[in-house]
Amino acid sequence: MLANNNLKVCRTLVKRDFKFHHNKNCILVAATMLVTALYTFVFLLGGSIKGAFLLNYQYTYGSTSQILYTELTNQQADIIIENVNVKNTVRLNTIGQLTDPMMGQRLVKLAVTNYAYAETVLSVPTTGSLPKNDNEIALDGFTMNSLGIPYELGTPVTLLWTDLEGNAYASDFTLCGWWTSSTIFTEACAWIAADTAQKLFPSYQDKSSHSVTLGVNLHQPKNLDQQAATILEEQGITGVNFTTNLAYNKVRQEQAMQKAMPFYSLSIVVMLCGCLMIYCIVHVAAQQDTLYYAALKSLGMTPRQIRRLLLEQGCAISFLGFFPGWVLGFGLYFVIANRMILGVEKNPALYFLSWLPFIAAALCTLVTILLSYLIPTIRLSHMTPVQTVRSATIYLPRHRYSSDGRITLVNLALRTTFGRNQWRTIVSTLSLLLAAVLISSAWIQYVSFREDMYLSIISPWDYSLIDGSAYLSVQRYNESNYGITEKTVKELQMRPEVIAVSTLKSREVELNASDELRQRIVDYYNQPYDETMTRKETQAGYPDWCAGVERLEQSGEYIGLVIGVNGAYLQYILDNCPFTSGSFDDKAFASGNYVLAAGAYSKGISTPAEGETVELNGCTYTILGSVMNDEGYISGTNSTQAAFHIVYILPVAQFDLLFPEQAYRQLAIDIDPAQQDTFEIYLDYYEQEQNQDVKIMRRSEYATNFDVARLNMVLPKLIVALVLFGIALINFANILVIKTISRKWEFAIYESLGMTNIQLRCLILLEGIFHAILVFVLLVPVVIFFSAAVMPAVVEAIGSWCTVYRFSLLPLWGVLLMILLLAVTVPFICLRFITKGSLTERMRYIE
Amino acid sequence: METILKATGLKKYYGKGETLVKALDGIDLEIERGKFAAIIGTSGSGKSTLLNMLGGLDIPSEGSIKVGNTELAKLNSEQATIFRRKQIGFIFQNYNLVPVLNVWENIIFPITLDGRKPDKTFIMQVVRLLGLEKKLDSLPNNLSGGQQQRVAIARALASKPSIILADEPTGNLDTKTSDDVIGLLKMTSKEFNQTIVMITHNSEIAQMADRIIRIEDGRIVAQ
Repeated sequence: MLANNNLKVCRTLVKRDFKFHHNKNCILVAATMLVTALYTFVFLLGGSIKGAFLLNYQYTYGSTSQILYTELTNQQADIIIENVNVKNTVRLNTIGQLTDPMMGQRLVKLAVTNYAYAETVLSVPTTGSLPKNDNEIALDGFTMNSLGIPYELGTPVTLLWTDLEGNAYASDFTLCGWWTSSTIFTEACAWIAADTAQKLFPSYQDKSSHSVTLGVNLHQPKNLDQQAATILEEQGITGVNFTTNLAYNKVRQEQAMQKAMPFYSLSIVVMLCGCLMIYCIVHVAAQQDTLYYAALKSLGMTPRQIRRLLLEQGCAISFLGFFPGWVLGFGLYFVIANRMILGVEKNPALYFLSWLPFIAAALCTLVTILLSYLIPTIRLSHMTPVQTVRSATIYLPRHRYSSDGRITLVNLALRTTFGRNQWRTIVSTLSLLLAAVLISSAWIQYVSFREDMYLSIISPWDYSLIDGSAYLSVQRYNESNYGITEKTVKELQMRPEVIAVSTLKSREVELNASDELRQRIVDYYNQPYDETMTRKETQAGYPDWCAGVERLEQSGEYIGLVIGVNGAYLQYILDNCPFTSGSFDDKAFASGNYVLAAGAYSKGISTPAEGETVELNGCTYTILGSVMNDEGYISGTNSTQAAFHIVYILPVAQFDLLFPEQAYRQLAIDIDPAQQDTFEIYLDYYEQEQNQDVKIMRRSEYATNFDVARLNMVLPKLIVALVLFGIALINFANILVIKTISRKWEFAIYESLGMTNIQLRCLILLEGIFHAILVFVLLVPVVIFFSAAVMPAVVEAIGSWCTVYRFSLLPLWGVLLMILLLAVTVPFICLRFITKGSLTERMRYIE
Repeated sequence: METILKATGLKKYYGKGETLVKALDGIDLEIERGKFAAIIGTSGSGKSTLLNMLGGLDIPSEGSIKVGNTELAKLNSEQATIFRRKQIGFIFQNYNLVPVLNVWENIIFPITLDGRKPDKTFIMQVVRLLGLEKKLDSLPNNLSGGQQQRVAIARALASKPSIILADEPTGNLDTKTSDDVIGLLKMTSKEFNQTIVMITHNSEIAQMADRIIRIEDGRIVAQ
């Protein structure tokens, strides 16, 4: 007898509720939409950040293939392809490697054109095309800059290369295309046509020639090392080398996940705040709902049916909020991902797009909504109908009455504000508080990143013009290049925007150290670095440097790097390179008889010292002083022979006397900031139209990049905080609306007893102000405490050298202003609606 | 005669200490099946509280209530609701109409909750008697107070419960409709052997009952 519950009726009631309570349900759907949007946003962004890091590892690896088998014969490659675990492959035939010493540390393979393989190593020409004809060659930009090859299709190119058997050649080609590689690429291909390869190294297709590199993708890309070995074993191939893609490495995957965790962890904030806010909107702010449920219970609705009703209501709200939430979340993600993820050729928002975050967002939203409904559901299902009615009854606390029993509008407003709905006010304030704390946290982090500190270190001058061969730290500066000419310098100096052009030239020279100097340097590097090793031993990972020191030790020969500087470069050295002997004398330095010697950036003299002499290109110079060399101002790297070197710094004018044919390695330009726009237009023209072999670094780009990076760092948190603040404001406004509308009868009574319209408005205004003050009292101390006491530690934890904690309450003032505006305006707007109609009608009003 | 409703030592207290309110203070009451009982008393005497207790809408502080052979205190919340839905029809003072349902849906709502099929012939008979046949598609907000009262009465009768508990059922009705409603209640009580317990301020209507129970300060002072 005590069974037979009809649960279908719950659906009917939910449908009717949506039909009859537009406002409440629209607010709920809007809040759900925002929650779904936030989940979608953080999950999509987290996934993209993870994907971007994995892609970065792929770039570092140099290929998008999961396994690269190298030095295979064609037959071995054919056998591997047949393995059942192999999904697809790309094949590369290499005939040798470029060996020009100007290539620096970069390794460039001379390979037969293969478009599919070129795609996997991101080496498809963006200008021109892959070689089709005999003797054509396509190169990457860095190789061209290092070798001083002009950016013109059809340019004759002579390349030094070594074939697979170790024979060296110098071959002539015609440039047919080029592309710009990612700066982190250390390996690349130089593409030639199959006919050219056949002509240059005919045996590359021989059965015994180990010329093939095979890129393999698997059906199940897990445990790549194990699978790669198993494939070889199963196919009966031995003695073959392979590497596996870093992006599929378990540790790297974990690292990528760690990078994405800050974004994923925002979903916890979304869940907490979302629950709180939707809970507020669902039940705390709607007294009449309780009476409605009490009526349903008294008519025989069982706790199970009540639970089902609320569950279905929650589900309906969730489902209605999903789609707009997904769209909004994707929109946010689309804008932010394009700002945050750089270095991906395709649109990163679309490149990393996956359906999983949408599903996860929907599930999390559903959980959030159901959690929001949980407390009211439990509460309602455990109360009897009469208890439910009583729970909706407002019990006013006792008030002090004035001696003559009179009551003023202020007293009345105070009673309404502080005597009713304290729980609602506290819960709504809590949600505002959470949002305000999050916004303040994001803001303080933002203002604590100091652009001036960053720029003073990263870009001490406004612009740098750098020879194309010295742009990357892995590129060897080509002393034969003439990218930056005297004409360029003069043209720059003539520009009306330019305040100063500082120049830097460099030249490697063979030098002989005296016995005394040799011993001093040897002793210096044999000094203990710490308790476990000497200074020399710390450099064990740099064999070229060690060879240089040993050469000095044995023969006294070493490479001197003569650097000619003036202007800002000289000032940089004086500011950042501490003297280990002597001091700077402007007149003496300018006289051309003196040089500065620069050695290791560590205490002690590792160079010739003050008063000693050095002979450079036949001229003898006295050492003005020795410094610890901060080489941060020099672009590119030097030859491998110069891995160990001593720097001799002298004025550019003196350098020109020693090496009259030497071009500029780099320029530092400072301009009038007011004329930046016109100068940038000039530089754009210079860079794009005239000199692709000269690279320009702009402080404005660093500043922009810094601004972007700074904003990107706080943007996800800021967006979540702002949307949560939006939900909290909706909730706050909802409470104000309910508070006013539910008192329709009460206001009618006041009016019937003689309260004028102006008095009623005054009452509402006072109530709004008191309500705002109540929120302020709860909000302000906590946010100030958080900003002053907690945020310094948060900023410290960021661990960046360009952050200095800065106290700011700007977001708090904005939040308070919004609250005050809502607290005053919303009840006024509501009052206009509830004072319509005759007094009799309004006094008869029963919800 | 069989006792359908039995309250023993029924007490309901609110608050404590100085603010303690004794809404019911030891009520002993037995009502036989098929009888029509009227509860009268001054405002705040505990009439509505007693009716809520008898219908299982609230839990007593002390004492027990037995409906037929069922002790209400022994039922859990779910069971108590289903039992009430099947056995007791309520006519509330504030009607308790579901605002999102129309008149017909409101009348059959307790039956719908129970998953039963409504007896349309019988319900239409009640509807006609209460003059609601033209208002079946209307929403409660579009009805006058008297019309809403009649919908609440129709709803209580629709499921043919063994007990009808009515809190001022004729409070918003004119004299003629009041007489008709009481006549209807008496008729159905006879036809279905229903027990009616009704709170009223109207002494003429109270006189139509088989038994009058007077309550003062939470106690039965006369019956």
